[in-house]
Amino acid sequence: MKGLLKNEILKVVSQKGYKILLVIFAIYVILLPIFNIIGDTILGGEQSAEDYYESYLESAEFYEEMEYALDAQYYRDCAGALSFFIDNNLEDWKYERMFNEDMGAIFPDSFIEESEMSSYCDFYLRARAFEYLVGGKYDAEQLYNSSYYYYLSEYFYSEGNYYYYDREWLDYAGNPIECPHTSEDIAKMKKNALEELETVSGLVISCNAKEILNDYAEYATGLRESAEHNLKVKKNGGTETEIYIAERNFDIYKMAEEMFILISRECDSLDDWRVGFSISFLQAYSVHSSYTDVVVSKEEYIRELSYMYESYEEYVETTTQGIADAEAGIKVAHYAVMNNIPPEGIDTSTKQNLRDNIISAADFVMIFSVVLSGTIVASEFSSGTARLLLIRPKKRWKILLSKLSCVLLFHVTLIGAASILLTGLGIVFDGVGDVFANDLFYINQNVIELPSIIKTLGVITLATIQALPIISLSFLLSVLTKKSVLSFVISFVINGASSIVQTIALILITEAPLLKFTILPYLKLIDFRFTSSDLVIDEIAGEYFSLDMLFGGSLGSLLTSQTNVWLAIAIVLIHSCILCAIALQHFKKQQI
Amino acid sequence: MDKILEIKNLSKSFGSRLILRNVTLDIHRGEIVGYLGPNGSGKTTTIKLVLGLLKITHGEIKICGHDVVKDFETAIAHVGGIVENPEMYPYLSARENLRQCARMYDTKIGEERISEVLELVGLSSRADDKISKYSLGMRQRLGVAQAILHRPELLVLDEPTNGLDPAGIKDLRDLLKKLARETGLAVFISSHLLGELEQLCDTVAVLNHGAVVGVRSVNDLKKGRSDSLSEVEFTLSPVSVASDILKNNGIEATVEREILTARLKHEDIPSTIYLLSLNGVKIWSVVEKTRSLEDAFLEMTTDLRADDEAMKGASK
Repeated sequence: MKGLLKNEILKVVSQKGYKILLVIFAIYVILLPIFNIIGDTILGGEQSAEDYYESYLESAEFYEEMEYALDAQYYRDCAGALSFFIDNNLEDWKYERMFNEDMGAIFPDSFIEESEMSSYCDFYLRARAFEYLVGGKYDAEQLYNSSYYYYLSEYFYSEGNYYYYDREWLDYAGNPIECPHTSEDIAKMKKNALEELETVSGLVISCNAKEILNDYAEYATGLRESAEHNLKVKKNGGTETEIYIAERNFDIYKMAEEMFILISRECDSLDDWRVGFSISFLQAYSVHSSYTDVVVSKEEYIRELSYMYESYEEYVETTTQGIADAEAGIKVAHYAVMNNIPPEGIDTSTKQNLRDNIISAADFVMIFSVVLSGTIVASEFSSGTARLLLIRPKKRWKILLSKLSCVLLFHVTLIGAASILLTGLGIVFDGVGDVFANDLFYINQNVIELPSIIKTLGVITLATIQALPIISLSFLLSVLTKKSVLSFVISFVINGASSIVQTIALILITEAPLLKFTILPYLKLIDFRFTSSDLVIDEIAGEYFSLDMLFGGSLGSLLTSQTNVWLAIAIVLIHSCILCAIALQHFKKQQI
Repeated sequence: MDKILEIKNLSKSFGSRLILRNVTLDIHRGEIVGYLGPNGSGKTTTIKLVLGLLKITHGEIKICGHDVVKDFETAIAHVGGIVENPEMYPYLSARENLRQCARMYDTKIGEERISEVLELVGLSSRADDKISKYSLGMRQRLGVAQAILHRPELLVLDEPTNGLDPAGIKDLRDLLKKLARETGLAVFISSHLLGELEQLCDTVAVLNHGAVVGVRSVNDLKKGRSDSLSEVEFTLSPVSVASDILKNNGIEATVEREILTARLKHEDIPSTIYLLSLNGVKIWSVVEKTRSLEDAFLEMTTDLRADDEAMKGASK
């Protein structure tokens, strides 16, 4: 077997075509970190806010022509919101757009309709928040530079949702329904929200950092005391569920108090990462508290949210997951603040750049491996060398296995070599940065600090395994058809469709749970790197500064709500083995 | 003599099409057996079956006593072969190609053996050139080199002289004869060049329409059957007297251009010369016309074709 494998490796490295591919691969890997620098400095500002404003309007017109009123309205709102950012010369639109596009890319149009306006309302309302604040008492530039502008908009978003009641009401199928609230209720909620916002905004603008933070520490202490009191009350006469919720709320408020006391004591500037980071914490806190309130109250659900969900049970399931995600976010945030562990910046993390580059390199390796697996058997037949290869005292399955091993060896070695090279080049071009900084993991409801290599290895593993089914398919086709080009071209076409197939499978999986035992939801295994909880490779800790992670608004959480990475890996491996077993069986019986 | 290759009642069909019918053939140590047959008669199919490239429909093949189906690895370890064109990896040198082959055997085949085999087939000076630069003849020689690399006991060659020039053919013939003589190598060789087999083989098996129609020694084939008559040409005078003498003694004789041709048994030639001399006939030369292998081959295959047609006619 060793001799056979050596033969195969020597054949690959001796062929001109593969040599050229390997040289191109090496150049690609070397250029990846350079592309990052170019991308950061040039491509990042390629499209202006005006460009996006125009594209939103065009989309709105398109949907109007198609008579998709909801989508048209969505893009009009986006354009309207963006115009505000343009008028006030605020750069924040970039983040807003990115967030928005992420959501749009993940969910198809039909899904947006079904979830109604959940994806765009925040975009719209944040813009309205700025408009209100700037149009009222505050200066846009002052707000923007305060480092707290985002918090303000978020705060407005959570409170300002009440403005949403003035809009058209739709059920989950997109049909108009009557607003379930009286106009008096809405007016009252608006008034409360505005007062709240006025208070907070005034606080932010008028006070210096230290005052704000002290104020928050006091505020958090008040919340904790209130929660503590509530817990005592519930323990003396509440239901089991009420006690459970009160306990969880108390834990969260206690963590908030600890965090803000620490921040108020140690931070002198609003630019301190821990101050900014508290926004994430409050986001998660907000989700947590709203979910816990609603889950226990069916009346609340019927009054407030029945139009968005098909049943109370469905809503309970969704919110339970939401609570788990929020709690994970809160615990990770608390741990980071208390232990002074800076977050990975979205754009500046060298660790994250490295992982992204490894994924890009793995995609290239996949091309090499699929071409190799499609050629390694078929070329023996097309060149006539199979007649000499198969008259040796070796079992056919050993000959075929040596070829498959050769492909896998190249696949793993190239990804490994690229990872090492990229680490070195990343340090040379980007600096060490946070490459060796520990990652936070959320495992079994505990936050654990582990070396960054673990998560990087997790990314490498997922990227490596992800390609196996397509490599096996190309290998099988190579054995069946004896035609190299046909084998890898068909495999590439199928691979090209895999993202769409995976998304469709994930959407259908709630209706057809057995789909999770097929390979369809796992064609892009690397998406599991976005997953939020339950997993050892847990991205939430690594990117906890990214708010959408806290909300679980990613394909990753859609994956983990239905299945988990271990099942995914098992199914990917089983499918790959089945394809190879078919190839083996056919090859054993093949007449030449 | 040891049997190296035993083919018993071998049949092969692809779907309903019968390619080989009950082929039975033995090859012994040191024997060179030619496998003759017109195109499409089943020669390459037989060779592929011997080498395990095709599945046997019926019958059995043993190499050095090991069944090719049941004990493939042991059986095939005793065989070296070339099937159709000896294609090897063009992006490797001859030496590297032979190393590839060497790694496929459990017994260690070292660099010395590789150099020895390259020397044997006359490729030493070009051993490190990529074989994409080789002529067809050189590739054939490399094909032979890979086939004998592991010192097999049976060499199976399918049309090995394709692409070789006359000198190359002679070299190959000499090499195979030497190997057979010195190492006891048994050679099973198919070729459409009948003259080539005539000079190389001890025995020839003739295949027609998937069936072996005869296995004969080359000498027998050339002479025909021992009881048959061969044509003997006499240059003599007086021709008419000689003709009369022979006819009076019951010997068929014809005269053309002063040459008398008599139909005689091989062992009757001396007594006939004596008879003519005794009667005063002056004899200048006596030539016994032997049959070429081609004549024999055509005769055997023509007989079978005639039989076939007769059978077809009968079945109608």
